Amino acid sequence: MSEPVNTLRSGSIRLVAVASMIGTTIEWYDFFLYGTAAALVFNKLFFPTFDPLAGTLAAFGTYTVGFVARPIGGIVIGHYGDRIGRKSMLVLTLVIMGVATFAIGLLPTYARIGPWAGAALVVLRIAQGFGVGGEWGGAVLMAVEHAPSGKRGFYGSWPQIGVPAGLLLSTAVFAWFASLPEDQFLSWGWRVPFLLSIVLVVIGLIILFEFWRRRRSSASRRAEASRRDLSSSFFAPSEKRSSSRWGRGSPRTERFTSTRCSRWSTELRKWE
Amino acid sequence: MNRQLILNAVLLGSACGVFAIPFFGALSDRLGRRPVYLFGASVTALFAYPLFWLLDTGSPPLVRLALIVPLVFAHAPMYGPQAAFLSELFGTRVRYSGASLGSQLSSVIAGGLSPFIATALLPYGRAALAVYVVAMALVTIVAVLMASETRHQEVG
Repeated sequence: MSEPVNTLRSGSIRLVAVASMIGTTIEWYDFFLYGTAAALVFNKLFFPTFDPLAGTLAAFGTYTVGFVARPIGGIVIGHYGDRIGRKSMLVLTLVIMGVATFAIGLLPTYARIGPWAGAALVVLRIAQGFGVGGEWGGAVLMAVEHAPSGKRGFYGSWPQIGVPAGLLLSTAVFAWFASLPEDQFLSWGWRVPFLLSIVLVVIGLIILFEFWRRRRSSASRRAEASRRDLSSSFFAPSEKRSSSRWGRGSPRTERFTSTRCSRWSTELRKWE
Repeated sequence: MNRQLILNAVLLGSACGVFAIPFFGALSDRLGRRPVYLFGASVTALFAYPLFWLLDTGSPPLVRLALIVPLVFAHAPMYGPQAAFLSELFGTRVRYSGASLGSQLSSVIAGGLSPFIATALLPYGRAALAVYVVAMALVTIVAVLMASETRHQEVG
């Protein structure tokens, strides 16, 4: 083995840090968006039969449900992240979050389907909390486990930036649409920030997969260089050592290197 | 109290946090996770009473100060190093579960309940609110003192 693969060169680790930060920013954008909308929109459109105060309380009740779902997401996703792989869980939680947020943007209101509107909102809010609770560990470990040992604090803090960044982004986007005339804002304006989430999630997934693709190809180049005598192919046998949390557990090597093959299915096995 | 003023101050503090979080994360690489974390928890405790006092003045610059100082000097020194700290406390095979459970469970118990506890304490004045914040900060301080320094821990 020529060098430990996990300690990425500075360019790569910066890409990991940025990718993890974008992941958490998207999650928090979705999560905070709901909080803002709970105060301005959901009380009127989803719980209108109550008196105004009760409507607001019901809207915030669904907000609290999102909090309660967070540790459940942390437990379930954390378990499978340790057992199956962090990479697939990171992708899964981003998708859960994106789909749930997008679906909130499409929900029919109380005026259309009665109390089912509020019930559907609660279910989607639970999915949001589950997603954000599960994603945090994946994003943080992606940055921390790839960072050089003297810089784990610095690179690990990048996904943490997602909280203030997501708050700023969600407030800015929502405020922009809230400046519409009220009837337009309540009929369609409030939905746009939620629908936009799917765009962010797709961008986040593209960045993640692009990073993993680069990791794989650079890892196979390296494997090739170190095993020229074996005339190693793209499917270089460097995988033998691979068994870390990104593969199957070799310490400090091969975190992200998936030289096994480049198929999507393998992609989903761990970070590799 | 002006709602917009509070919101703007929180946003301003968040913008500062975008830079403060990686700064304190990097500082924890030099000084260790525990001292930086303890600094944040201590600022939380020391600033608890002044925070509510400054908010009560209602003066815009003081209200901004009241919200930006804790976001930069209390939250960021804990939240920045937290990712590495929690990750380093657990072995590889249980790291995702361990770090997730710790952070997410505490976010519900401490974060999710705090608005209700604070509302319940409101009739007893700002001293009661400050005592609540100080008590939470002490829990953090004790937990950090009981944890070992992990800066040089192998994350293998």
